[in-house]
Amino acid sequence: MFTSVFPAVMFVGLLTGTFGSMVGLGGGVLLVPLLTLGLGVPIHQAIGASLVAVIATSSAAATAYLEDHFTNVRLAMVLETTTVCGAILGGLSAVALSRTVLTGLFAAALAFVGVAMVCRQTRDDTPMGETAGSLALGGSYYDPVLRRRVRYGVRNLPVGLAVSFVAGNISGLLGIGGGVIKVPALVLAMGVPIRAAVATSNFMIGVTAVASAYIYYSRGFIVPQVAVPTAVGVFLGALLGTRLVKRLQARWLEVIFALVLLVFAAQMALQALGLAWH
Amino acid sequence: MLLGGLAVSFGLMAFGLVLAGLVPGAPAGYLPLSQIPGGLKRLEPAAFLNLALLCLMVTPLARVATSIAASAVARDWTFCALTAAVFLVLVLSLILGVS
Repeated sequence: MFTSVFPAVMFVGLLTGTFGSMVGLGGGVLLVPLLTLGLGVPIHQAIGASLVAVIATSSAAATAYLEDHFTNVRLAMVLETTTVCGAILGGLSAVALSRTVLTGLFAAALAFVGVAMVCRQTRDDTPMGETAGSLALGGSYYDPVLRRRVRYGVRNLPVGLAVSFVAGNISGLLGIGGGVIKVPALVLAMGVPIRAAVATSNFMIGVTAVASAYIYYSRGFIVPQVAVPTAVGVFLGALLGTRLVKRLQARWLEVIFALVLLVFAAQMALQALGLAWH
Repeated sequence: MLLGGLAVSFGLMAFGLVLAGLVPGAPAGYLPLSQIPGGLKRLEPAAFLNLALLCLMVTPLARVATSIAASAVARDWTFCALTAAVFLVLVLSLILGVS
């Protein structure tokens, strides 16, 4: 039973785990189309496996990033307060809202953020003013490419909290981690350097995916034949991705992430128009 | 905490896959939570694989719980309260999901 699909599913997991951990995504938005279109896995089982993948990527990548002090755990926890609320509301309202309208809006938002990230000036090493009050949300880490310590502050916390709520809402609705929204929000709205944003998002998406994953499990949509090889592949890919990312310039990370956003935007626009896989 | 959860989960997966290889045709699909203990006693691959996935799913939750304890020890009460709020909302979401 396992031997027929294990290598192919694991390879798909390896690809998405590598890329997902490099850009702060769990890989769910890549994994679901690859499993359904490429390997013929039923959509609900693919989403269930993608939630497991999100958690595996998050846990594996967070372990590596925490060691390097890239992850801002304080900021992650503050933002998670609204993310999990959004995820609950998203999960509860998933059947009540028009998925087509939501998907179309989501595609437009992704395209806007993708273009904004391509056009913005790099400020990876520019210290920001601390505006988050007594929460002391700023951080610092050693950048292996710049070969020096980068210190940063956090601005626009209310905007970050609002966007995190939306990210959680989308996560609950679509069964993804929400990193595709969290990373741009951290970088563009809150002034967090891309390296810290990717690591912090990686940490957050695992927490966000937990609730949805349990719902899918209790409904029998997380099947070991798909979820186990996915988890193994994604775990190995995440270990590889966290090593590769240290050798990349922060600006390249931003450009790669922006291109991924534009691809997802196109995919979701097609989906909203009834021309794609969903 | 994260490493521990991953180690337990992937250890169980490896054991379940070995069992599945040793006993071709043995059930290796989805099992409800209530049937996992019985399956573990009978050394069914499905029980170990499902338990492995459940362990993976609770790892981030355990990480949040650890943060609560760590911030309490450090007397960082603001962060402790924020982390506890996240934990409680997650538990609430699990209850809502089940119901």
